[in-house]
Amino acid sequence: MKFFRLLAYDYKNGFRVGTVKLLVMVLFVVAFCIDFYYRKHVTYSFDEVIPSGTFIDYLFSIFAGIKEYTPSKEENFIIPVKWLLLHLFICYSTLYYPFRDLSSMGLNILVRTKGRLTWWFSKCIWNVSYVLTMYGVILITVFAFCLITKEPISLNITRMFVTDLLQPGDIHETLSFNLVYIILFYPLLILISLNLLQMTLVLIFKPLYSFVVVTVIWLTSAYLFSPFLPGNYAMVIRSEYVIQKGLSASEGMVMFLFLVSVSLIFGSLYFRRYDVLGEE
Amino acid sequence: MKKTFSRLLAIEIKKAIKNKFFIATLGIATTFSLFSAWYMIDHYRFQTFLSSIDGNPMTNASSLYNHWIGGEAMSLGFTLFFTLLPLIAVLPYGWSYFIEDKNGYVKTVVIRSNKWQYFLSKYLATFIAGGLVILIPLVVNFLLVASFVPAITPSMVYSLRYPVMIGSLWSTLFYTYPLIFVLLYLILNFIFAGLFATMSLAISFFLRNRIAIILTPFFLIMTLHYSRTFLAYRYYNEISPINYLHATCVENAANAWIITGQGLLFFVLTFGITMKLGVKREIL
Repeated sequence: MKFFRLLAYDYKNGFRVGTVKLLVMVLFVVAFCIDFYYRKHVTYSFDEVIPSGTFIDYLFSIFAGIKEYTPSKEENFIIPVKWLLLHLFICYSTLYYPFRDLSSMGLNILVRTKGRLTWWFSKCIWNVSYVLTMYGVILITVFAFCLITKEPISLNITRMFVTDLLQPGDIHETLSFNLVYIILFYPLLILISLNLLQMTLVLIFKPLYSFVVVTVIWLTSAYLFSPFLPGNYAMVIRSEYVIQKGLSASEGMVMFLFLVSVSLIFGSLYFRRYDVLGEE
Repeated sequence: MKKTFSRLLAIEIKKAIKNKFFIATLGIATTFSLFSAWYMIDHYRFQTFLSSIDGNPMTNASSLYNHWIGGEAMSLGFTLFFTLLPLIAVLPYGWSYFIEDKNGYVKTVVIRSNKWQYFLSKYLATFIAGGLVILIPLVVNFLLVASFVPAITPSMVYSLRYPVMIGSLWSTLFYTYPLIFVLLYLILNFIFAGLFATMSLAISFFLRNRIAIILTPFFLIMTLHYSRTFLAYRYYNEISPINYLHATCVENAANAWIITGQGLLFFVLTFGITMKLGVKREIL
């Protein structure tokens, strides 16, 4: 019972703190959709009809990322700013509330609940819920944008956009329907796992430096094409369903489970002995 | 009066560069710059080895000026350093006014001097700390790379290896007096890093959340960087500080007017807000 009351408290306060950020996310997603719409018009301006982009095409463009980078003096590394901005903003959104709660009301609540683990797991569930809400906001905004611009609401991926606008490299002849699941779920799973990892790191490095660590993980993932860097699984154009030697979905699932388990286990063990008075 | 200000400024600068956040952030930034140096020195040695085997050695194609962190855009160190530059600059001291206001330190200082002196010294100390935390790793990287890679004057013959485009900021200096070009870029980085740091000081007057105060300048600069996408195929000058603070062109040519305009805008906004709202604010 105590746990559910604590969770209700976290939902109430955590979402109140994060309401403005949800609105900012809407603005970002609208800008990303306009960006895709505009690029489509520029690229196919000489065609008789500008091809329509479906709901999933818009989502694909948001979560696409960049193709594998091969370092060379002739080709500079260009940061995937849209992809990075989106993920970092979500990480930033979940950064403040647990820390603020611990350094203010959290102490009294910790005493009343008589269990540190209850407090910790409640924050973890709030964290996952907030990321899910952010993700829901992204989906709803893209949906609304498609309705307003009269783009088809469907899950059919337009291969032409992938080759012309996203340029993943060695692309498959036909795109499997499984790619829709990758677009819908993998960026979300990696976001959840890295947000939980960030919350655990806050206990060790404090919020700002844990944000720096997570940002370094996202950036390094964009730079290095490696199955050991989680951000790669959140870049849809690096998936095995898009390119010939892409990253396997099952490895992505293993990475997700590994990060979530490590964060939950290490976080709960560390928090049991954490000096909460030092946060006052 | 002057003596009080100079003492206050000395105290503020001491606090700004002798705190654990400055040291930790300097450590992180230096690590990024060392990553770049390590990668590029290795790259240079590998290239030298390859050219020694066969063909044109292309001696002028590789020099210090396209191997230091400001001249290369291919290493992980470069990526981390320049992308996180607006965040690194803020971390050492951008949060200080917020904390001092919260714990009451401001009151004790203001009654011994005045608000104008306090905010001016705070602005200068924040600017210097932000500038130094970026400048020192750049200098370390430059000196380290210079110890292994010769400082050959860049040649237009290898324009792909030296991406400083015609009309780009100080491009004529790059191909004639490259050391002066690098020194000017170091100064430019110092100034902009200082301005990024003071952004968080100005934001402290509007937000009551330390994390937001520190991260807002970073997200503003990232949003500015993203806004370039709407200028694609229309405008070919660099508008993002993340790109134009890099000495050689990453995507577009650096334009002197845009850089000056943005620098002045950042200065007017940060200095104006800090001094006007700071002096107006009821502290006691």
